[in-house]
Formats: sequence, structure tokens, C-alpha cells
Amino acid sequence: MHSDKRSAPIRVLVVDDEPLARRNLTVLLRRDPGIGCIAECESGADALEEIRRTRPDLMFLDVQMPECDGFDVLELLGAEVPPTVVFVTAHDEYALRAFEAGALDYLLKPFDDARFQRALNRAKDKLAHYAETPPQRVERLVVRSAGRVVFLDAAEIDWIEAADYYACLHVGNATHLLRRTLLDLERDLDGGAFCRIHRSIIVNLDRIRGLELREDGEYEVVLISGVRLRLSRRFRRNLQDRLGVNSRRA
Amino acid sequence: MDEIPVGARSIRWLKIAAIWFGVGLIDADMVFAMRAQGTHYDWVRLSVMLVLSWLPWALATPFVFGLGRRYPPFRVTTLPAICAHVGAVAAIGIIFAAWSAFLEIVLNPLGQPQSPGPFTDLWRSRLYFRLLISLIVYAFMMAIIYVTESRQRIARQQTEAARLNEQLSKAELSALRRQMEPHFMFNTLNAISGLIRDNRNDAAVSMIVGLSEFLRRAAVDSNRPQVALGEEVEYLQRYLDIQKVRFAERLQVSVDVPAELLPVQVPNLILQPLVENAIKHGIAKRAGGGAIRVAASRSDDRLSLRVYNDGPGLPADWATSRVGIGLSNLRSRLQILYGTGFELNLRNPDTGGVEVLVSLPLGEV
Repeated sequence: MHSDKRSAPIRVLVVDDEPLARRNLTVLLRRDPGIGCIAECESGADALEEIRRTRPDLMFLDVQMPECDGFDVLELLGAEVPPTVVFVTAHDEYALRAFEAGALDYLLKPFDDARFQRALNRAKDKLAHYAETPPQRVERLVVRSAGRVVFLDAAEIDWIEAADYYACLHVGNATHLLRRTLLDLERDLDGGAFCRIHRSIIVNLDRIRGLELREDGEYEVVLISGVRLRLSRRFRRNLQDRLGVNSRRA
Repeated sequence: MDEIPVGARSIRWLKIAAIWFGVGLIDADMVFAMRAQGTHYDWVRLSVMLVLSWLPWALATPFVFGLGRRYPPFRVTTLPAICAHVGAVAAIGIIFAAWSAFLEIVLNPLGQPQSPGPFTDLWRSRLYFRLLISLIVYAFMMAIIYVTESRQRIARQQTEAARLNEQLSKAELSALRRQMEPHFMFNTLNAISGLIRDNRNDAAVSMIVGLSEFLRRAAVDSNRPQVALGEEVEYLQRYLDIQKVRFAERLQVSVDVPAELLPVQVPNLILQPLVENAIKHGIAKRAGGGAIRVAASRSDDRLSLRVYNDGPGLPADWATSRVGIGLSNLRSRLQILYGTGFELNLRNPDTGGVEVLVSLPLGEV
């Protein structure tokens, strides 16, 4: 059973492109006294903005949405993903991918009140645990290789590249292999210092010299060290926001 | 017959030789009849002569069968065909008579003291009989060709019919499966549960009824090949009523079908799948939603059905993408119903969006 150690009301965000699908969740959420404000978004893009602005504790997320789907939302948020995410979808085939992306639960549409309550209780438990021991941002990474142990300051890292179940840390001219997934590492690192620019690349914002438009219309991120990294189209706006070069203001 | 390998060709000649040798032997059995009557001739020479006399027929066999295939007997009765067959019978008969006369002179099987007369006289005297025999043999060969060709034709027709049947059932199956698109069902049921949780019971009931009507049509009549356009429009309306509740103001639809076209026969399940595609590719992918227009019109003896959505245009490689595959299912169904008498086009109109145009011969009203 869930614990009620957490006293502050839980702030929830419901993301679904169908009004009635959102209605299912908001009606049930309102019945629970532990729930605080409930925000609704009808697209992935709206959800990104809302999350960055209000930092909700719990998000109910649809998978199939126009333009920016549920998985895109999580990937674009990186370290800013709310502490608890519950997927809500009619498709059962995304379950594995959802849990890999860090989902706490996976509600299949349509769902009954009891199943919803189980998901909500799990979220409450996790949030209570989270309130007791908020995750520490990692300042130092421990890298073991060939009988050596190296301590790396997170701020020293230039960029990180995914290599299957490893993360390859680029620090100056050296590279270190860490046995952790990129997603896992991204969650632990300071979200303000690092930014994802590609499905498999995270970059230290302090090391970016600039962005360059290539002949084929794609952008490259140029680091102070001269290294050029591909900027994937879907992460471009995200990076521009973070660097304060939002194209809308230009 | 164009490229017959040498081995097969010699086997064919062997077969021909064997058959005509057999015919010759049957012909030669008159020798035994004559012997039984007590006449005395050179039996060996006579038999050899009778067997050998069929040589022109053996040599002419491939030519006769070729001619039979070129001008199928008992079916095509054009002047050139008749001339070819009559000419062939006459030519073979004349050569047959000449060859028999020649053999008779050389072998002299009846053992007459002097040679059986000048070649031309003998040839002329044998001509009528040999022509008659030629006609019978030729007709017999044509009958063989006729029978084998007919059997081949029936076999071909059967395979063709089987192929068409298979295509038809595949198309039916895919139509049914598309109709039963499980996510459409789950999302609709989820929307209904949303209405109930929101205490909008009347709306929930009417959506349950709408969904049931939709399912009934799918379960009951998926095997009628053609239905009235009015039924298709009604069915489409059921589907749209459900989708409008789900997508709310994001989905704008107009259906424009003139009343006089409602009784026209059209392929079953043609409109709803096209609109479903338009929603999937044109509306569901855009946060702002969009508009769909369905229109029917007639010009002369053709019916045009148009389904337009104002969504993003087609990618350059649409033919090989999922859109193209969905349309190719419809295309194969239309092919079964109309052969080449239909048009199915997907295009990006100048005004933007995507339009599917189906043009069909106008059925009975």
C-alpha cells in the first residue's frame, strides 16, 4: 500500500490529444484529495513547455499524438522528465519501450477505476520516496579501467556518446567508457549543464562554441575543442532554447 | 516451339516415326486379309511398300500441327484459315499419291511381269483414293489438336479463376481487418468511458449505438461485393460521428453526395477506409487538426468519388510507403470488380493537401 508521508499535494499533468481521453483521467484524479492542481495538454509540444514551466510531479502521457509523440516528449526533456511518468495508450506493443524510457506504469485504454488507482498509488509511493531522498545530482563520476580508478568531475566532460549499454565520455583528448546507458546517465547529471543534441549524444553546454548550418540543411554543433557533432533536427529547438538563441526571438 | 533443344527434337521425330510406322502396319494388315483369300503376291515387298507409303505424312506431321495451332480447327473460320487447311490437305494428298505410285513402280509388290505402267498414269489413278484418305487423316489430326487445345484452355481458365478468387478473399480479409482496427475500437471505448465518468450518459449511449451500427455492418455484409452509394455514405457517417466525438473540433468534415447518386452501385467498403486513411495521415498527425471533404459526382457514364484532406502533401516516395500499400489493396479489389475500367489516383492538388480520386463506370440506377 502507498504511504502518505508526502504532505504537499501532487501536481499532475495529463497529456493526450483526445479531450475525452483526458477527461477519464481528470475526473478520477479530482476524486483523490492528495492531488493538487491538474494541468492538461493536448500535444507533445505543449507538454514540453508546460513541464519546463511548472515542473509537475506526475505525468500521464499518451503515446500516439500528432507531431511530437509520448516518447519524443521524454527524449526531448532529458533530465527534466517529471519524477513519475505513467503511459496511457490503446497500444500494448509499446510497453517494453515505455519502461525502458523510464515509465513507472503503463495503463491500457480503456482502464477501470481500480487499475487507475493502482497506477496512482505506485506514483504516490515513488513520490513519497523521492521526497525523503531526492536524487543527488552527480558531481563526480567514478570510471574504472584496466586496474585504474579515475574520478571525473562532471563539469570536465565535453560530450558523451552512447555505445550500446555503455556511455563513452569524451574529456579533452581522453575517452572513458562507463558501463551505464546514456538515458540513465542523463538523469543523474545536472540537467542545467548538459543537453541532448542527438539520440545518442549529450553535450556539455559550456563547451559549445557555436552552431553551423551545413550545405545539406542540417546543423552541426561545434565544440571549443573543434569537434563537430551532428545536431538532430528534433533536438534543435530544444538546444536553441537552452542556449538562448531561440529562433522565434530572432 | 521456338527453341526446341536438339535432344527433344530427335525424340519428337522418333515419336512421329513410331506413330506413322504403326499406321503403316495397320494399313499393311490387308496383306493378311489378301493372304487369307488365297492370293499369292510378294508379301514382304507389299508390306514394306504399304508401311513406307506413309512417309510423306510422317514428314508433314510437324507442319500440320503447326498449321493447326496457327489456325485452330473448328473455331476460326476465316477465309485464309480455310484456304490454308484445304491447300494443306490437297498438297499432302498429291504428294502422298505420287510417293505411293513411285513406290509401286520401284518395288512392284504385285509381282506383275512388266512394270505397272507409266508413273503419271499410275499417280492419276491413285490420286482420288489418296486424297480421300488424306482428308480423313487430316481431319483426325485436327480433332486431336482441338481436344488437346481445349483441355489446355480449360486448365488455364481454371488457374485464372482460382487466382482471382484468392485475390478476392485476400481483399475481403484485409477490408475486414482494417475495419476491426483494434486501436480504433479501444480508443472509442476509452472515449465512451470518458463520457460515463463525466456523467454524460446520453452521449455515451448514443456513441455505443453508433459503434454497434458500425460493427454490425462490418460483421454482416463484408462479403457483398457492391452496395448502394447511399449505404456507403450512411456507414461513413456512423464512422465520422464516432471520430468527431473523439477528435472534437480538430476534425472538420463535409460530405457532398447528390441525392440522385445515392442508389448507384459502388464497391462495398470504399468510402470509409479512404476517409480513415485521410484522418490517419491528414488529421491525426497535426495538432491543429484539419478538414476532410468527401464528394461524389457523375459525368456521362462515370462516377467520381473524391476524398480530400488538407494535411501535409505526399512524400515523394509515397508509392512504396504505407499509404501506397493501403491503396494497392483497394486497387486489387477494384481490378477484380471492373478489370481495367476504373481509375484510382492519389495526388497533391495545387491548393495543397492530398486527394484520392476513384473513377468507376456507372452501374445500374
